Amino acid sequence: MRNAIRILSAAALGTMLAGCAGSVSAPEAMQAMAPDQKASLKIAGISADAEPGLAMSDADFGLIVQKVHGYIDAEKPGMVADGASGGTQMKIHFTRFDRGSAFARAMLIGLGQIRIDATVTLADANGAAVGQYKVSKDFALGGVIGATTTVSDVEDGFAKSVAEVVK
Amino acid sequence: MRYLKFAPASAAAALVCCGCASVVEKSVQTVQVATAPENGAQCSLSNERGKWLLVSPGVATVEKSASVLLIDCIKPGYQEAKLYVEPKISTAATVGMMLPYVGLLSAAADAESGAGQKYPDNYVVNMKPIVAPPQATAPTVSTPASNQTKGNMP
Repeated sequence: MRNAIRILSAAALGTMLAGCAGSVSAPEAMQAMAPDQKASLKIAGISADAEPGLAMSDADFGLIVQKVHGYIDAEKPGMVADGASGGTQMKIHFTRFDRGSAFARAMLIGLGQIRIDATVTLADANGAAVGQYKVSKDFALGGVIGATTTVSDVEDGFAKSVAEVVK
Repeated sequence: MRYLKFAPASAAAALVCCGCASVVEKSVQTVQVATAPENGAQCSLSNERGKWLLVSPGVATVEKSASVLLIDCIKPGYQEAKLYVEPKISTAATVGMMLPYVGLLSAAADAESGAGQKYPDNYVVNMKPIVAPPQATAPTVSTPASNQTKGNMP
């Protein structure tokens, strides 16, 4: 009975901690949009690129763009209309993308952390920035939770954080 | 001394459990792809371990990997549709990681073989029809009579 309680407690704790990777991290405004700008915002496209030297593939960009698209659609249906003329473009520029090490995280909390940093720019049809935000997401828990958490779990939290920009 | 009699069994169990998912599961899996609203699209599936082709609805046997699986479908009359799929850690791999003493070895073995990761089995790729641009109708220009060039008939 005591063992069952321990296992259930560990599972509950694990579930709670695993949520950390997917939680929202508040975007930091570098050029904040006015509330009326946000209210009338129509996004014509979302794109992603990275600083030279970052190990990211086109599939990585595609997956993150797909997730951001999905979270914005869930929060504000109809805000993203791909290819709409005259709409705002959302550009995600990655400045850091560390996949970390599951082995190092398993050994000790704080080691092998996963970290994603990016600048999110909203540009109008003329290419002028109407809003710019810094979004960061990291994960550094250890043990089994650290070993079983992957970069895609952190990408979920990152994508939710990017969707916060237009909320 | 009496514990020694369990040693061979423990060692065998550790070896078997090391790379739990690699033992219990294969390093390949089948993925079923359908397209909507119509099937019959040419789809390619690719990750860092290879590329596989099928016609929807169809099944491909792909190599498991920790990388993103891209499903790219094309069909005449429709826009190209791409779906990015992330792998999840399989149950066997999670169990393997939690084993005392051999958990980390298990995780390393599963990561190497790819068996520790698994893509979901079924996908429906939504394809958008290509909307033909409206036919440009030739504007009716009424030329003033004074501007008309009058040719001289030979």
